[in-house]
Amino acid sequence: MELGEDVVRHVESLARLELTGDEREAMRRDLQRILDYVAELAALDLADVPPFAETRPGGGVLREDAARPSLPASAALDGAPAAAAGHFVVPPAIAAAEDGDA
Amino acid sequence: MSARGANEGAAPRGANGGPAGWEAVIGLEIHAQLRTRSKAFCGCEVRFGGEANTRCCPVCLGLPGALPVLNRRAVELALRVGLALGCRVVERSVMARKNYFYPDLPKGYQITQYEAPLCEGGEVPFLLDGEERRLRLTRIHLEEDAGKSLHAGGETRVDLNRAGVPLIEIVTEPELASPAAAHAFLVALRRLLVWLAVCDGNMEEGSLRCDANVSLRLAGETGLGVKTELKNLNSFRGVEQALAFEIDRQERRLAAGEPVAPETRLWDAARREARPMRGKETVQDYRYFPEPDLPPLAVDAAWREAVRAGLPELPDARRRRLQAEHGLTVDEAELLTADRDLADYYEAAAAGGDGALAAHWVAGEILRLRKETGGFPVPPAVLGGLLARVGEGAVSHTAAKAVLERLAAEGGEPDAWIARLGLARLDDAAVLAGIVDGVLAAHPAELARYRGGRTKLFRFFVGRVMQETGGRADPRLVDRLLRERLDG
Amino acid sequence: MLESLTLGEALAGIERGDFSADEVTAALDARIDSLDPHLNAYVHRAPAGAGAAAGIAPAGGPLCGLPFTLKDNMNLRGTPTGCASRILASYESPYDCTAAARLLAAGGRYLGKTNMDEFGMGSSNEYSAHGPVRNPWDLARAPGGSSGGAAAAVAADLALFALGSDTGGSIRQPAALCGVVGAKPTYGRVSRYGLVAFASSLDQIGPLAKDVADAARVLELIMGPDPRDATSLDAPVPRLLAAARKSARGLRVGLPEGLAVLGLDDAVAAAWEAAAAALAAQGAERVAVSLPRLRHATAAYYLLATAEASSNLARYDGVRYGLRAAGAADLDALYRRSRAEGFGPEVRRRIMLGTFALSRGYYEEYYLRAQKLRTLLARDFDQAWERCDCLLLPTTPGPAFRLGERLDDPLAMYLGDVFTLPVNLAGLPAVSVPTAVHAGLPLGMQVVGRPLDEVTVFRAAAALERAFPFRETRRRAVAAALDAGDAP
Repeated sequence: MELGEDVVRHVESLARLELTGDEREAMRRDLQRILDYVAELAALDLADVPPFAETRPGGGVLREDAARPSLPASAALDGAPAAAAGHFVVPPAIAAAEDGDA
Repeated sequence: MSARGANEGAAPRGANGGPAGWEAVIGLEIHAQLRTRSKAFCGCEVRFGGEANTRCCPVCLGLPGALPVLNRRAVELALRVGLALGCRVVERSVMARKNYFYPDLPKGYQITQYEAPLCEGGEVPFLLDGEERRLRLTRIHLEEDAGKSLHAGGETRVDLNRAGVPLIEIVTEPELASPAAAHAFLVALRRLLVWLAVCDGNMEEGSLRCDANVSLRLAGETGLGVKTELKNLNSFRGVEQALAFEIDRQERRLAAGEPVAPETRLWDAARREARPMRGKETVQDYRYFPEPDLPPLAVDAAWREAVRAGLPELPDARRRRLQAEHGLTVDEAELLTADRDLADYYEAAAAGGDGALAAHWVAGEILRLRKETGGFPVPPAVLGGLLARVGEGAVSHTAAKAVLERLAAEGGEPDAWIARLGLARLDDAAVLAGIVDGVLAAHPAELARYRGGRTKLFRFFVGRVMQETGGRADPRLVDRLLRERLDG
Repeated sequence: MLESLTLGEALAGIERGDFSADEVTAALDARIDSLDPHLNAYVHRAPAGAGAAAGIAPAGGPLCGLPFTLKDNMNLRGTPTGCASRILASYESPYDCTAAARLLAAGGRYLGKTNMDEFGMGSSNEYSAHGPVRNPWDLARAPGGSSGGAAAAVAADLALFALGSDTGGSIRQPAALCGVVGAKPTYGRVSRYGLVAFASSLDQIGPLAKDVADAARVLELIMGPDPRDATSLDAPVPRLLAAARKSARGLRVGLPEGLAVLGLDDAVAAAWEAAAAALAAQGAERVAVSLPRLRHATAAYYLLATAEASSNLARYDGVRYGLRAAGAADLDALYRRSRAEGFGPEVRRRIMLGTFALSRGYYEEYYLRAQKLRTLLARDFDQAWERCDCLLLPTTPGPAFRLGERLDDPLAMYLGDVFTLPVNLAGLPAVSVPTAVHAGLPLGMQVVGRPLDEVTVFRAAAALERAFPFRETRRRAVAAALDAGDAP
């Protein structure tokens, strides 16, 4: 596929990255080359093949429901770039000022 | 039948339900916090309130390198709900990542289920105006809660104590036809979740949350119109009010020939209106994919059946059984099955006795005491004993209420309190005859007037005797003794 | 020359009482002090004598107090875990990764953390916030990556052994390019808990060591199920050291056809043939096998690994830890600027590619097709196991390349992983053993085994090592290069 700048901008936004104009064009070229390479997959007949993730054995480890000690009170916030009154602090979200998306 | 069940009899919207009338199509998404001790993917304690960010660990903080391990109990609680509602349990369900950025989502993705949820299908029975309805479910899946963001003073503060708390999301088919039906459904669903000890059902603390979507279509049409989503519905009443508001708004637009925009609206309970979310409406792209840190969740038949075997009798079945066994009305039985403790209490109190009498007392005095004390201060067997005395006529209703108060306050046995309070029925004819004679002797004027034809004064003498005996006199015996003396 | 001992020799010497573990550590410390300025293999070092002073390494246990290194993507309480990224420049671990905890419990002592490509994304160790690592065979060349610091340190006797992580060859490729042994066990053998994720379904921890027996010793210590990693396998730990002493007689060694198409240096082809002949000379049987989907593995890998990475790296958002860009007025700016400043160019490229591969409209064509190809590739290997017990193939298509040579050509860098990444896609165990020198640079051969059959892999790897003794070759070459490097 031809990767347009609009798609790069969209992906950049989804990934919360910020590229300068030059960086974006370099990124577009790099990604274009990689997409041209991986296009070989498009030619394969994969219609009846299950995705690998579905072929993994199920089960695995489950936890028993026992409460264990959390990190010490301050440790959660130790590395926080900004904290106040025991909370992490960030600037306001201008867009989507809604509480999460559970 | 069940598919349309929730729609039947719903009042059509619009002008008298005529050909131009609009009908509402409502679907709900309910998030219920599961009553586990620890979080969905780590050992941090699940509890409401407390100091911010103190119930967090590398896993639920999303620290580099931490990995989730699914809580077995969370799966079991989700299975309880699914099996109770007749869902298909998916043998290999898949945990997935839902990717989006938000400060209260520590990993930048929510672990949830997408393509292969734990439970599919199923239906919830509920009563609407005393009639039995059912609403089909699309799915029930497991996921983790996000933390809490507090927006104030030009900044956002984040508390991650709630991050990683296990939830189930219950998605209904869009087959509810009215805000009242939505309300009745939610009441029934909440009752079931609490009944199964899966969720504490506390909406104020956010243990139970509901989003709604609604569209309108012309009555009789089968296609769906453009729907809007309603969020921030903090109570069942809020759900009902927001839906009514939104249906009205959409109807006005459609009636005016204006389109309904597919958007998310936030309910403002104070202003009683649902407003579109502010800000640019970016198209969401959650980039779901299977969570590589968690293998597919395998629920084999043995596990599934063990969970099924542990299910209690469900509220709907129990209501019907109470109706049948004790001759209760739908409303009585529904009230007494509002929760499992109450239903258990009722059945224990009614055992071997008069079920209707017990229903009357439990629905009245016992619920009042529960409201006052937060519990059941009188053991059900003790209430049963007291009601047996009432039934035998050994104690009057009024006296029994007095005994119940003492039982609630001080404990003990009904007979002992009846005796101690001297509330046993006075039915010794000789003793009572003496009292009757005394009353007649004390009221010569009234006696003369009675004999003069004022027979209505009979009630006066009964009243006096009752007063003298503190209400304990056997009314029939008093009646006989008075008649012998007045009319004999 | 205590710094040049193998782990096996050091353990024997300590047991004999010839020297102490502290003396070995001191010798390594001194050599790191003098030579690491040329190599840049370490990004963090334990304070000298810290182990003994802190009393964390009682001289018991299988490791007798001997030192190990961790890659900069492995958490150890109280040490920086930066993943060679600006975004985690100030990050300090509050918890231990399981593999490191097991080495400590075995009496190991933390020596330092080794340089790497940022978040494991790279094959040259040039994409590091700490600058590139230099290949101790030729300081103008790359050591390979992403565990380049670990490989260089072991090759230059700056470490006794090292833990690395391997997502698409990140242990085996630098081991091959630096002339040491590198082992990646079956996916799920070693807990990933505490290993900072690059691509969760592919990442595995393993040792880089001076010989096959050392790699076996270390792997035995860190393998085994971990309740903190749901993808860890519940399988008994095999006796690898014993396996490394067994003969290769009777092993059916599969040689994949058609590798030349994938780009194979003549020198590498010759080394491969020599290795196969050497195994045959020890009684192994050569079997031609076909892996038809091998040539599509690179395409699938770079879609799947980047898709998972795009999600795994979403947590680096400047909210809870790590770098936050200054002066962002709103949340979106905070996210975008922090991530733009914090991530290097290759990480940004891969996040973009992975986000694209998962995004609406492209998911089916890219991510899903890659998932399906992965299934077919795994089936190719399954079919090969019907004909052989292990596979032999080159670790890399060519020797170490010059620093800077592939920096402007990410695709060329990716294509260099063509022989290692299929092994990760299929989750198989593999060991890379140095077997040849071409133009003064080492070449490695890779033995790949059935899932959970590390025993056969180590058996064949040890047979290769016996055929191509490498220690003196490496010692002389590294000494020459470092002498040259010392010269102004």
